[in-house]
Amino acid sequence: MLFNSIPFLAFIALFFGVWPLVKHKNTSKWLWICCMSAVFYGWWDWRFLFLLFFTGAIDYWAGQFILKFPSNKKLWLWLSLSTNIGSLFIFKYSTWLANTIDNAFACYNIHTSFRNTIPEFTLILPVGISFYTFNSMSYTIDLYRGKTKPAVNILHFFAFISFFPHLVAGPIIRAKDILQQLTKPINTNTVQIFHGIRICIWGLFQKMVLADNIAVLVNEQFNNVNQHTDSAQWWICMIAFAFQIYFDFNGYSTIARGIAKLCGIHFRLNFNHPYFAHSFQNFWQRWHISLSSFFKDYVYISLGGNKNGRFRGILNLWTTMLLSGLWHGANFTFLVWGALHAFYLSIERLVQRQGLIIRNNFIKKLLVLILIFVPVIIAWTFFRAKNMQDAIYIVHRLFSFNFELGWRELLISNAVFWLIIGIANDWILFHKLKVSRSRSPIFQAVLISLLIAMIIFFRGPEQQFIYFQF
Amino acid sequence: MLENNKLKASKLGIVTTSILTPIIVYMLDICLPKLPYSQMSMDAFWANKIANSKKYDIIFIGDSRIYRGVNPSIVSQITSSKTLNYGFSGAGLDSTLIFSGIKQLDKEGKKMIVFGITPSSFTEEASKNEHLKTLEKISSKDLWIRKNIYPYLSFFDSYSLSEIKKAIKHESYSQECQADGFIYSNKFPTDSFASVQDYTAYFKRTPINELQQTKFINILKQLHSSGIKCYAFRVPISSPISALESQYFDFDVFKTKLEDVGAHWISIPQNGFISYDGSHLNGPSANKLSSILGDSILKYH
Repeated sequence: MLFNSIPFLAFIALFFGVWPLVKHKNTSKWLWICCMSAVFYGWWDWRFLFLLFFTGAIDYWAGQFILKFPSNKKLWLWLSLSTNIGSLFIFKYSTWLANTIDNAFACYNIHTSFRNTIPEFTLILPVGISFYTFNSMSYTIDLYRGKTKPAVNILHFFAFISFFPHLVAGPIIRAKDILQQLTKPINTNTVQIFHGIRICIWGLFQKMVLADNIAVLVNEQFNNVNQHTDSAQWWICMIAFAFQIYFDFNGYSTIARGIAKLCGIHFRLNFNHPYFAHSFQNFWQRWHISLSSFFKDYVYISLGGNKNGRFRGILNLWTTMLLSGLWHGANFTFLVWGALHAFYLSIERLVQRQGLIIRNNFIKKLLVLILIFVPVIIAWTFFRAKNMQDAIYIVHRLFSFNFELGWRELLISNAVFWLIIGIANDWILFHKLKVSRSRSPIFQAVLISLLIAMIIFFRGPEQQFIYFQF
Repeated sequence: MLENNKLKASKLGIVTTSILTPIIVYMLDICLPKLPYSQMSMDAFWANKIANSKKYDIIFIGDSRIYRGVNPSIVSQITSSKTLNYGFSGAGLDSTLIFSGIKQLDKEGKKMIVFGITPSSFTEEASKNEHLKTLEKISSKDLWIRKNIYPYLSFFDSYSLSEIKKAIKHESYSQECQADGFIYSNKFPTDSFASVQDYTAYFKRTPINELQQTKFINILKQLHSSGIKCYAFRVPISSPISALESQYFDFDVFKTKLEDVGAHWISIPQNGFISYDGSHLNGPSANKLSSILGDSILKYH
């Protein structure tokens, strides 16, 4: 069920229609969250629910055994990790890996058919599998490390992993952040409700108006890659994609935060104006924060971080970024995307050690923004392209400096209009100009009403959220 | 005290939003130019076409020239039969489309299929039948929503800048969707040469495939032997497009091949019709063509 769909309107009306009746009753509250989350998730395909409940149950019991039998806690942790990573491997990577092996052998004229040996059910990718397995894993890892308290009962645990606002596309939440909130009595006051409504509408605007209108331009170009030869067209397209994915995913995360807020639960910020980052490291502190911090805490630091010297630190960085690329999808394009970011971060570390950090001065700041933004765009090319061939073609076009006339039409298109509005909006919010800080309720009400009107009349053609595929 | 002020401000915010939103939406609806057609109704139209449980005596099959060019209600009136327009954008006359169309036939009825022949429906690109396949992929839940809820939501149709610009320039493209699969279309200003460039590029990109034609003829043979009456005709178009198509496709040879396998060729005069873009008939011309088709079917039958 998509947040921007008619069934979700009916779903959310039902959820919040009953919520006031159950939110003060312990068991009913958990049951209501679990049941409605199952409906929300099962709307795609009810068979996916089995996997969600299977991996969830294993993690819950692994957690219980970690506490009951601390001498064997490593064993229970491994059980949990292997179940989660195993299910991810089976559903997300097995086909890709089999194809890759078959193709590699084919290069040496050896015929293999690993692809045909894979069971058919693994060809279906359960929606949001990468998100909920990570949510679930964070519980057992934190329990193992003694950083969180165990779930009171299995209902609490399933309410945590299946809570529908974050279930299919994040933000990835940590057990230590949510479980305690869930156990406390829920008291949502008018301030929280108004705030929740505001951020929901803002998220919907980002997704339905900004991202979906920009998507028209991006999809057209990427569906007909070879028909577009103009460098300027590709630059416009790649800038558009950079902001489309930002508005799309940030929109989703914002709606999720808003809905959680209406339930009296606080989710951390997932995006913090990433394109205003002053370094690549800073970019990753602002982009998909929940995933970046997950990889930092559970992979990078677990590998030793930068404690064991510069070389080891960079090796750990590459491992983390490549895994992050692979997390997004089973394709070499995602691996290259991760590798490019690892490369940028490595260079930045080396340069920073030489003391070449540019600070202050507007022109220099702008230059830094561009120096960060352009490489990020190059990396996005690999992220968005269907295959390596397309990605290389686009990068080649970007730097062929072949300017034809097609780009002028793009500049006056609907997509570019919304792109400019979106960038201006982000700029205003980043610089916290007076207009975005006004606390007057009337001003805020006018703003919300205008946003709702724009969602109704200026929304783009309905598109699935980009991060659903992960 | 501070907490109380915040509560009061939030209450005021919620109340003001609830009052202001309908006012702003209503005012915008008044100020914005009227859309020439409703996208929501279009979505409902296609959902109805792909998930239709009714059965028919006569089915018209073809591409956009068919669903904009043949009005089944007129054919139904003349022939006293239940008629459906089963046309899809960029459709290719291959087994996917034809057998999907045959499913709509009433087994106890007259069992007639009428094919609108266009050269572009025998290209490799058309044989993919992407429009039909995209519609077939829509989940049954979404189809139900499109069929039953979308018709009531045309107020919420969205605008793009280009539509506003067109409205200011008084350019319009009206499309009235009918339940029997026909779209009564009109465009202002009319331009008979509008699609010449597109078609020239199209035939260069994807040539007409001899194999597709042979497959089509074989299907007709199969249908004829199973007791389904097959008819075919050429949809009238503007003379520049007609001249272009004749360079790539020999209608006389094709007609002979069809008749050899038992199908009837309906000759349609190519003059006297108006196309708004060179390849699609405007509403009145579509009605005129439908009358001719109805009379011809009645005569043969």
